Amino acid sequence: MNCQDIEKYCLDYCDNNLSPELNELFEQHLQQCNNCKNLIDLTMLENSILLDPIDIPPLKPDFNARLLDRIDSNGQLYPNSALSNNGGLSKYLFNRPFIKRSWALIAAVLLLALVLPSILNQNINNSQHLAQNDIDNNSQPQYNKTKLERTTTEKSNLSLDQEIVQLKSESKTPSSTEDLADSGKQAKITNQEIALDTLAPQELVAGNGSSREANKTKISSRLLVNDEASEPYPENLPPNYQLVANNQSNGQFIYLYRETATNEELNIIITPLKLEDIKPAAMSEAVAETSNTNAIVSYQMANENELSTAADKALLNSSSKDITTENVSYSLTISGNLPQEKIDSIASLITLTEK
Amino acid sequence: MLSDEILAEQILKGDISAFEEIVNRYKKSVFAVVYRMIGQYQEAEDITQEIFLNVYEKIYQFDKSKKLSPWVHRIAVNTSISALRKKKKIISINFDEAFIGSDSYSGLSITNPQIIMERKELKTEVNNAIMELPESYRIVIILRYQMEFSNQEIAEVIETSRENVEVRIHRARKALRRIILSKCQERGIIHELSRY
Repeated sequence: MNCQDIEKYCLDYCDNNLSPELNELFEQHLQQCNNCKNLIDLTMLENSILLDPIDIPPLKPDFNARLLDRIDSNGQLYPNSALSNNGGLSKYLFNRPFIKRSWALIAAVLLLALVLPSILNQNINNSQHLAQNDIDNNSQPQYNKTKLERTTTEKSNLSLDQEIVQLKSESKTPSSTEDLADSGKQAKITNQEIALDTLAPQELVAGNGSSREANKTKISSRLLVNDEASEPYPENLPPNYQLVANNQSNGQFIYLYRETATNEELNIIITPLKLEDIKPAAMSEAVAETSNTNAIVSYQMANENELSTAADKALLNSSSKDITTENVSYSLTISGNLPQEKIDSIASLITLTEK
Repeated sequence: MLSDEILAEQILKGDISAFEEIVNRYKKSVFAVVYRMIGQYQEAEDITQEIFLNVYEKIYQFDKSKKLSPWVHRIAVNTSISALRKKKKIISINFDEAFIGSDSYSGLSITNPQIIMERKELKTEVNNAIMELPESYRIVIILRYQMEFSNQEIAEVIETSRENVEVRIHRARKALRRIILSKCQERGIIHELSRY
């Protein structure tokens, strides 16, 4: 028997499981080999240690009580011990698989409960709004409220200038069916979502001899088109300009025209003037001319300082003037992505008609 | 005294006192197994509670034609192994220091204080080495040497054949010795052991 055999039969020898013949051969080798004797000594010591009665600490005296606390009189399990030992009710609850699923459900219901009222409210408002529109078309006065936002930007690339005009509006304008009946027109209210992306071709501006890229105009607008009886309406525009949209905001009337061939955009803002806003000179001029024509034009060129940057000036030209009709004075601002001379000529032609 | 199997039937009928009797009969051995497997008192006690609640809930699954003891210990072993896997601390768990160091020796009669000290140190090494064994080896070592179950009883607990248990114990002992030798060589204990 060699050292490998000793290692192989070591445990059996220590447990007295070897046959007498093997046992004798085993002990003969141990007498000659100290290493194997040490191995057997260690294994015997190991056995004695393993078989030592280990000091298992006693369970706490209330072990049974805590265990039985978790079983109710009906034989169902309570989480009582979990409450005291494992970190309380929350931990116990969150650790139960059923409760885990339930929490997800509860969270979903709560979320729905938070979101649903606002959705319902919105639907109710929409339906009320539609119902109100129906009523307004028949007998009720109508109010339109308009908000206009206008932004101009320029890209660093000089070959492409860009203008973004954003129109967001809600309309609120007084009207009545009686007026509509008198004017023989039918009030038509439609909510329109208009998003226009137009890229005007490059055009030369003859006035300064330099080339200017036409602007890209983006109009995103929620417009309430309302043919109101008292609405001032621009007239005498060149025939190739078509009305794309109109809008009312804060008492202003806004009209957007587009030139069909070149996609030039023309924005006309008509603001009714209060009496104190009218310059004395302009008013006297307007009064003087009222006797001659229905619409007397007090022409005023656009203020150069109105556009703050050179880029803005390149992007957008504008012109403004005051017009007085029989009853009201209006301030007109005409702006667009077309040469200043062209805007000026259009501004000089425009008159107003009140519908 | 009522047999375990009769008590099991009474538990099924809703007799809580029968369940308490089962708890009293097995809580010490179940806790011993769990404590040897887990190595930490409070956690072992919590797991022991869970084991008995499992026994209570699953008593209807118990086959009355068989003995209750292996069935209860099987639940104890499986629950302990599950707890270990959850902790991912299957190795390198040291026993609570307070419960190590019994000087009652059943094997060799050693009176030399130095050797007693070395034996105490070796016992700590053995206990820690057990905790480093793979769980399949650890459980047979615990049941065979510390709970003094027979190979047949171990086979019933871990639901395998007696021959398989014998082979597993043999391999577990070899693995245990490798661990102990490497630990002892690191600390120089093996040199002192060669004297006896």
